[in-house]
Amino acid sequence: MFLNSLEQLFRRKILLVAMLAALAFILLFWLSISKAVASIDFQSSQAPGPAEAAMLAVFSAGAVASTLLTALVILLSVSILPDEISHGRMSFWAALPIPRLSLYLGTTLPALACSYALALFLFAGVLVVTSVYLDFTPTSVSLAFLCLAMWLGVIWAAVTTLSLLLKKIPSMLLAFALCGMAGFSGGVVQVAGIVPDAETHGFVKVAQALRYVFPSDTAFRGLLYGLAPRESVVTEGLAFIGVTATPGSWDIVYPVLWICAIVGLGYWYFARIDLP
Amino acid sequence: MIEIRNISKTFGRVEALKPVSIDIEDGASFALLGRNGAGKTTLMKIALDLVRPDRGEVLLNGLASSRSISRRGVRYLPEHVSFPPWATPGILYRQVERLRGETDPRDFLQSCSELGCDKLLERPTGKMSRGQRQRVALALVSCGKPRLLMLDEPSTGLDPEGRIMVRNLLRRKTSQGVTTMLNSHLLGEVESVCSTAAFIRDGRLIGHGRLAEMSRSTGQVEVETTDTQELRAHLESRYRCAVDAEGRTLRVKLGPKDDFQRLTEEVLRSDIGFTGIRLMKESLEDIFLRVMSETEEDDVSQQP
Repeated sequence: MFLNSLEQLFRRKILLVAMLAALAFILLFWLSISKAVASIDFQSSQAPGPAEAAMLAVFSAGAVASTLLTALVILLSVSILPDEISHGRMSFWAALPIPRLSLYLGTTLPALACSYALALFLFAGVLVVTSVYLDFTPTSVSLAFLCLAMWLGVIWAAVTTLSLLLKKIPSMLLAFALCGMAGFSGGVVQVAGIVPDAETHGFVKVAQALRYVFPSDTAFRGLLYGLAPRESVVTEGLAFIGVTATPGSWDIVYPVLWICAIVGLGYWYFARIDLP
Repeated sequence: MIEIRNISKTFGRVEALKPVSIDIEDGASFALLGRNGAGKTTLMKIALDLVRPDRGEVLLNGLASSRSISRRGVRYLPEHVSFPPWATPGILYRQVERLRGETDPRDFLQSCSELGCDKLLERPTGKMSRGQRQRVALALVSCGKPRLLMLDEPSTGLDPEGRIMVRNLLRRKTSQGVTTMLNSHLLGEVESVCSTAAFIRDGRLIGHGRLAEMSRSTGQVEVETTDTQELRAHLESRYRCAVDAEGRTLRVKLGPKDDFQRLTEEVLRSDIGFTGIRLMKESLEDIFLRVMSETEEDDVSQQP
């Protein structure tokens, strides 16, 4: 089923558009970095060091890439399963001797796989281009790519489940809203971490709770942490878009548990619906 | 093969199926008959675990239909299936076989040829007519080694030639021992393919059994004779007779006190040559209308 759905995804124009957009993004990034590096005098006392410059480049590219990838994973995840059901193809597949769990995962996972492949291309491209121009060693590439999978997985799991319960447009809007809320809450928590006594504030507590409701930001910040140069120091001014501390093991385990729970919930619902 | 036990299903306030129980034997050619909205498609989908019943259970091959293994060898053609417009029959076959875990492209080609869609193998389904898509869907479903074919309105959108091809295909499959469960409004198709049927009205099973046994006498006898006029003259004093348009067959209406045996003896005694004599029985259309109207009358008489 996975291969069938993957084949179906590859025929969609949105994937081609996303691939072209990713390529264009890398080219623009490469152009920007080359121009920027040429204009910086690293010998000057006021200029940032290569590690700080690399961190700025990676963080700003990451922010743009995350928008593109969020849109892609939402658009891909929201349509596959509902389309298979509404066109009557799911009845055709479900009548074959295949467990519904295989059908569910086989139909929905290609959206995550394609998004992850494109995300790897984007972030690997950013790393390569940055390291060509700036002396730069990422903190942990493996952590970054693990967190990348978790970040996309959280959005994918949520959108897939939402698409079973709601129509396409409301599912997409809700998913975008959740991502926005998670990003904002994550920023608040990061800033609160460097401001004395801020963590006791009610607003911060709500933000911390919201990060558990939709943990995409926890995973995304793990990605940024993994990509950030080892030599760099995240300043207070960057706290909102970056990370101020090493992600704890709970920050990595929790999104995985959350994904499993939401996928389980989606499957539970899918296994009980009447297929048209 | 299929054991449907006390299945009931409600959609909102609509009681789609009141407890229904049917057993379909291995190798049977079975039809589900009823008016639109009677619950035939729902019953078929429940049998395949596509729709969950409120109560009751279905066993396929002796196993609960909710277990995927019970659907091994089962092929289902939904009433409405829309394939991706870019997919050619070849791509669809590859996708289906990937999931079935068996490969026999020659058999698929034979099914395509049998259904008259062998020249469409490279054409995307988006560029096919509805009937052509239906032929491809039937070829996908029937190829390989199915043990049970469950077809919901298989002749939808097909031209007369296509319908004949479907009939031939189903007859061939039945002769190979494949159990068929057909949901169709084309009674001629059902009559020529199926030997047993169940009648459903408003979600209730109102009759089922072998079609040959369900078919009652119409009280009419057809005699093929060399001299219709003479035989008519011989029998007219006792029976109401009519000659068909071609003048070769005499139709004799039996009265309430007449019987077929006695008429046959009278024809033999007349010494007028004849090549055949048969008691006419109800067609499936007649059975359908009778069963539907009888139960309707029962329902009316039971109302307070």
